Amino acid sequence: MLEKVKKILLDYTEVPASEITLKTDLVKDLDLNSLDVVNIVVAFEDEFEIEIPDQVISTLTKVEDIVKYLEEHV
Amino acid sequence: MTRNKDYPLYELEEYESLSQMVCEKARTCPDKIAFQFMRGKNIQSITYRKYLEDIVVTGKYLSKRYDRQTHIGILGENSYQWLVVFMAAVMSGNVAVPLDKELDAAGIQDLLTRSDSEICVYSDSYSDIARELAGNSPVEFLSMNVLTQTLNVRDVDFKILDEWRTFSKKDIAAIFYTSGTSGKSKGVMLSQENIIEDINSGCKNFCLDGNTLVVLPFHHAFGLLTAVFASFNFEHTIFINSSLKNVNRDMLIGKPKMIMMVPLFVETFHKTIWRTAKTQGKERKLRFGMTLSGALLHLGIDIRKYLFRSILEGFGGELKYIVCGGAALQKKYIREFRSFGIEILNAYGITECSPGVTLSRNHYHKDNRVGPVIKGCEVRIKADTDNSRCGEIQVRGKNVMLGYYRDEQATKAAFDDGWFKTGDLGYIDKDGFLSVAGRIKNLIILSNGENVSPEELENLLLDHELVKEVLVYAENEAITAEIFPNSEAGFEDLQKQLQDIVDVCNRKLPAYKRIQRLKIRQTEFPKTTTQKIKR
Repeated sequence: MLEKVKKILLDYTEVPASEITLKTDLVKDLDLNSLDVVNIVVAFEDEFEIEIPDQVISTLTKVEDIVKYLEEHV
Repeated sequence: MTRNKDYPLYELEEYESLSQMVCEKARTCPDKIAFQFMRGKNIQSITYRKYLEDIVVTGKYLSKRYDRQTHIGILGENSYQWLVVFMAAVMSGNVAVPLDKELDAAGIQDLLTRSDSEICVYSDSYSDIARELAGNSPVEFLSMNVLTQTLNVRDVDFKILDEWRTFSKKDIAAIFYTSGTSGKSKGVMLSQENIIEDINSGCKNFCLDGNTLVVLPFHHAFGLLTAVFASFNFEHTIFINSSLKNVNRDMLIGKPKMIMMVPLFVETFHKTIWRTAKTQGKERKLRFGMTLSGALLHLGIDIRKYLFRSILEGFGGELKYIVCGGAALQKKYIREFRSFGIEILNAYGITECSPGVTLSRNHYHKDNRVGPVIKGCEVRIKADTDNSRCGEIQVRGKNVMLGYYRDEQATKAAFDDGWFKTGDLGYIDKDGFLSVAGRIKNLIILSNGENVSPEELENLLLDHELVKEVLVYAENEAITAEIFPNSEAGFEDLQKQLQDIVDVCNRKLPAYKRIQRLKIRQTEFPKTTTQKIKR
């Protein structure tokens, strides 16, 4: 799952794949803003054909939060 | 090409209250579509008359059950129902308290308590918070869905409007909580008169000749009073975006002519445009197109619609204006969007002024200014010294708030001889345009008595692509610019390039404001939760 998540994240950040780990912070480490995170969530929704509620978005701060959410809901 | 020179103000009918505007629109353009939004996969349309009917039905329910001037918290994502509840509360003589939906349960309870709210109307998405609070709170929680489910009533009786019309337009109509950069948020009390004055005046500066899309949260004065209700005055359709996830879809459906935004949106659109160009291998083509369109525009030839069709279609194909407020937007974005064919118009406002103070005009604007002051609102610059043209921006007019709710001390401190102190620094140029330099509390005060606004210098430096982040401060009395660069070039070369940029900026500045030291950072600056650099 981490690899799939990384693949999508790489479309939105200049940070190289080798530096993205579970502990990577979306905003601090990947230089993303809150709207980028919304766009990334939309990309995950399209890729995995799920719906991620708006209220969940603010809880996704690190890569591991996304991986965990997707593992539980996909 | 826009002519960009002064011209007479737009003339629109003026209203005495927000309620009167909504009632008049229902009478003069009853069948026009006021609002559109998605319900499942269908577009739902609401006419100007239907909006008033729904307000009356909901307001009657509130009038029957509660005394006048009941404070009603509203918690929910942007929706049509939200707008019905807000206006129903206001028109029926109660007080609407828009709540920040990003807050947790404790934060919501805190605002409900501090605003003396007796009721909280919540949307389904926030039923968890309502359930969590309902047990231990004296506040009555009402489901927005249940409250508005009677909206399909036919033959609405408008007689109650006669009674509502007798309510004073000077009473508190709403309390907006300002986010506040330090300490607790303050409840800004606005009357219907405050709000309508700002709408009457703002609509003289900017004229909307098509539909709009609302993306800013309704609990902010800019997102609600300006983006929704000032647009409402133009009798076009307002498309309601209920989730930021759907902004792109809603632009394609709503086809807005204008969108009101904060800089964050513009910056993100810019990133998306360039990311798309990169993945399609069209970066060079895009840059060339921008240069070409700029050159042709100088000759009076406008082919932007053809050159940037795919970008413009992403915005729905009709977008002509972005009205940007809330924070300073770097000039490079304004220039870039102009080369695509979208004009970004800067505005300046503050919740306490309902909120608009200045607004750039459709055909009269400057990239480094936030526009001319709106009519009926006075701005003075309170400078510390007689020969300084820069000072605190102070505002007087009917759009200025009644005060902070239950906070007399803060209210008293916010005024200077009847003028509201914005806490922002700026000056007015020879054409009457306001320039905002920064916040007073960030001022650098040098021992020679001169005051320097760090944001003013930072904005100058940020105009250069090589400067990604910058913080200006005084170190041992020397104005220092610490820069996190936007390049991976060798350090020596970088040092020289950045010093050149600083030198260019310095040439534009009076001696006391010049940047004396340059520091280069290898890492980004630490930021606050709202992505601002920590000072």
